[in-house]
Amino acid sequence: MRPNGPKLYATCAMLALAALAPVLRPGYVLVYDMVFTPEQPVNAAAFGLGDALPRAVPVDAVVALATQVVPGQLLQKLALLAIVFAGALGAGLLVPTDKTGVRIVAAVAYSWNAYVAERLFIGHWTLLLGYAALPWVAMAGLRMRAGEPHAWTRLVLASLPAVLSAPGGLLALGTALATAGRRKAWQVMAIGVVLNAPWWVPSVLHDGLSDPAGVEAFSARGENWGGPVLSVLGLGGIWNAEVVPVSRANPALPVLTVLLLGAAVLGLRELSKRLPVWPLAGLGVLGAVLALLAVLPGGVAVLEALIEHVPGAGLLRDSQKWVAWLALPFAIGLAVAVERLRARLLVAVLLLGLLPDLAWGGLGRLEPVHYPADWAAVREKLVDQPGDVAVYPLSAFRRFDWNDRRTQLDPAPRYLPGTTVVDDSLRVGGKVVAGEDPRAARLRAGDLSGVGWVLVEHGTPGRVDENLLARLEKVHDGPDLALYRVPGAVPDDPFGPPVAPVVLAWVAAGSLIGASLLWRRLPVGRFASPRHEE
Amino acid sequence: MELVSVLVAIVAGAALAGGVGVIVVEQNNPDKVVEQRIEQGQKAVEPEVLDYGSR
Repeated sequence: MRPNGPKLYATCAMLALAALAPVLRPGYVLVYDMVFTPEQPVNAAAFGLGDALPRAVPVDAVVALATQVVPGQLLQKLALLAIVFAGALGAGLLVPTDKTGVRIVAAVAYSWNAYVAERLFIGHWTLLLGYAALPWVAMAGLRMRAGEPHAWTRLVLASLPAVLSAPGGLLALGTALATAGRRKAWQVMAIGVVLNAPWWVPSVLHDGLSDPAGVEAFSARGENWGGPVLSVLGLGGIWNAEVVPVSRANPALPVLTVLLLGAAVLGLRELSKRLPVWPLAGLGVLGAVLALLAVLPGGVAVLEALIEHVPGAGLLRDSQKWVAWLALPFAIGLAVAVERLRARLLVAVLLLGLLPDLAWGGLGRLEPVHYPADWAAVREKLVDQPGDVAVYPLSAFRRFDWNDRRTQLDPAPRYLPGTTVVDDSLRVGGKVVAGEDPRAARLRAGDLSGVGWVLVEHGTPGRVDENLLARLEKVHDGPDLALYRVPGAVPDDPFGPPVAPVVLAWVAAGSLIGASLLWRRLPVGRFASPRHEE
Repeated sequence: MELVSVLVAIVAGAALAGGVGVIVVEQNNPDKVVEQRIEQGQKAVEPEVLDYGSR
């Protein structure tokens, strides 16, 4: 599995630039769930100690710490480019072949597909970092299976981008289990449990459950006449029609999906003579089944019951994300299937041609913008001030003129210092999926207890109760934001999970990462091992 | 012969998929829809609470 020449690297770089060149312009790309700010606050919620379910842990903590030294927009550009470049490169390197063209087909198939496009357009960059890590996790798993000394350190480091989010962590764990084999399963499980501890420990300590209404709202969706099954098997089928590339309506797609999957299966048969790929293929099937669970007969009822009664089962909401497991066996299988073709690069061209609207930031979907000056002014006023900030209008999402009226998550929690309370209920096609933050629920009931400040964002849909504002003291009045002080505010007692186990989880994960880095980067590993690892 | 068939199928597939894809994109790209709205003098009505998305 050695790289063969710079062509693969150049292709991966070109893929990243073709998809994301507009993102490199100055500013922040703010679409749906993707929010970056100049300097994200380091607060308790970022570490899983907030009131709401820790859905953005540990990524919020990592980004908050990183933006203390690196500007947020630079971090965002690096993360987005890494998704396409590292994912493509990893898939290319995973194929055991001497032909660069075969690697390029794998690279294109893995990084230029509906999954990457749809998740990019909905702003799920942490999930995609996990997706990009999967080929590297698979390589580390295969080294563990081969009995290479201290290969576990590679697995730990390869999994780092994935464990930034819960789904990413589970995707990486599944891939590692499938590639490392049964004999190494306990080692892989131990690594997975410790590395993912920063999100699962606060999650199990939190007594909140997700709203089962989310199952149907976030279930896989048909994108063409092939329906949800063929859409998902084609690595698409995300629930939100607004983020689906228009080329997914191509009437030839369902047929081509079947043909390409068939070719990938033939390729996997050939590949199985060189690599133990069937467990990886089995994992791909499992991913597709999970992704389709909510659209199978009785699936909604089963999932709703799980989410209603089992803490953490909320992860099965938006289950289309698990089809990520199918992408890797598909990409390497397809690459090996065309190994004997002279014109194998035509397949790469076909894959690019099937999804032309991923190019150039999704033809304008991903475009950097600048925050209006009001945001920095309000931030300045709130630095070192006690009291949490409640944000109005009550809606999780915003649509500002300065961001070309794109739907975007409210940036306030990641822009302003301290703790911010926002409405976390979600509306999908007019149907409400209840939120998980008890403080947001109090806010919806008009209860400002524990809130020291009220921020009103102008120029976005939604109303603000003028009677409520009349009781407050205005301290900033700009064209985009108004900030009010709540007279006589008394801070709330913290309502999050107990601190000690969460801190222990972070220490355990940090220690494992530190130990792996030491083994690999410092002489200690070389002295400890009687054999040279490479 | 088999190889040629596969190649022909691939090229035909690429042409079909690429062609249809480009047409679909041309007809439906977001900028075009916005331009059409402006031309027709229609103003989009914003909802009271924003949807996360629609199915």
